[in-house]
This record gives sequence, C-alpha cells and structure tokens, in this order.
Amino acid sequence: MAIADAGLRKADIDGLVTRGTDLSPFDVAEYIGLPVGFCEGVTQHGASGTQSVVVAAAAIHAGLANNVVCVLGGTRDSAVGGFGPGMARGATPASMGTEFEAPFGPVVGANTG
Amino acid sequence: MATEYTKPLPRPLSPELTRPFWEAAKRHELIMPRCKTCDHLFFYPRSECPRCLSSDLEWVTVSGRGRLHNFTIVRQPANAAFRDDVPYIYAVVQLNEGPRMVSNLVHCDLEAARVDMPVEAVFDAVTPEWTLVKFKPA
Repeated sequence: MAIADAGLRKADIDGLVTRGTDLSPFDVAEYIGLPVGFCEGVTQHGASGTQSVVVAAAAIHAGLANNVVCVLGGTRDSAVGGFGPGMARGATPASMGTEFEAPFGPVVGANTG
Repeated sequence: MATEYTKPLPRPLSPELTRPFWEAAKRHELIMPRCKTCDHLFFYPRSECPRCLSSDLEWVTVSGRGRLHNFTIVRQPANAAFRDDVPYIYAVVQLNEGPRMVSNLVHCDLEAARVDMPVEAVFDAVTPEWTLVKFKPA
C-alpha cells in the first residue's frame, strides 16, 4: 500500500488525512491501527486529493507530524455503501458504531442518533 | 407474550466480514479475529490486522471472561428506545485475551459496578436473528 510505496513502515506514520466527506479520519485510524498525532478530513470532493497533500504539507511544516498518509477510498457500487466487495483498496466503513456500539445504548458520540 | 424489540440492532456495513461473529453469538460462543501473520487478536472485526495490516486472518474462540475496563451508568438515554431500560450500564470490557469490546453490564447492582471487576459474557437473544454479547459480574 501507500506506506510501502513511500519506502516507509507503518510505525513511521504519525499523520493521516482522508476525504472527510465520506471517510472519517478517526475511523480510518482506528480501523487500520494508526495511533496518529495528527488526523484531519478534507471536504473538497473532487479536489480532495490535492487538498489532502496541501493539508499534509501544512501539518508537516507546522511540526504536527513527520509522515502523513493521505487516503481516498470509495466504491462505485452503491449496494455496498462504500465498503465491501469491490471497494477501493484501503476503504473502510464509515463507522463500525452502528454494528458494535449502537445496540448497547451509547450516550455520547456520533452513533447515538 | 412476545413484545417487539425496538432498540437498535446491529447493522453490519460489511455483512460477509462480521457474519461469523454473529453466527457464533447465536451459538453462545464468543469469537474474535486473529492475525495469522503476527498473532494479534483484535476486535472489532476488520478485513486487515490493525497491527501489521495482514489480511491473513482466522477466527478463534475466546473465554468470554475479562474485566470491566470502564463504564457509564446511563440515566438519561440518548435514544428513546432505551427509555424503559434506564438506569443501565454501558460498558467497555477488557477481555482476558486482550481485545476490548463495547457492551452492557447486566445482572449487576448499579452501585456494585467497579472498574476492573471480573466479568463474564452472557448471550442475549434479543430477536430470533440477533444475539448480543453482554457481560455480568463473574
């Protein structure tokens, strides 16, 4: 994946930027186990790719992170809601909260409806 | 007389990924994914290991025993469907095998709940299709 392409190891990553309109950076960090010190979602739709790099560069320049992964993931298959067979490599569910938290009656967070 | 279950049921975003977990719960068995590359046992289920990113995973049965990692006594439900349940205990359980999971602590006096108390899994068949894994004092 992108980390290996950059000649880095997973442990080198301390920042994460996702396309926040459909991919929460918080959920991605949890899903793939990245204990990042900087994470942010950009909301520029089709321009999110370049905007991700801008945000990552700004974070590095400001000393908030050293190595930032920029992720855009999705699928054209509306039946799988962005996660499932045919998903883009690296795509994650919008949130697992609806499956593993909501049935138990959480009182805080975005999953409480 | 059966009453309709109105609280949120699990809504899997990736049903094929998590189906083994829910099928096991119906058998009163708690299973978790383990990475065959680095042996990491984790929850919730993912398509890749959150430690080493390997997708070579297997399901293993765990004891269902652990400790109460943290909890909230819910007196004001955020979701009206839980109105008849308050006060209830929303809990994070640390399993002896390592992973943590969100659940409810049941069969426990509210004032008796303590962080780090031993707990064990109980299986609550809330509908014919869905069995939730909850915990009680051990």
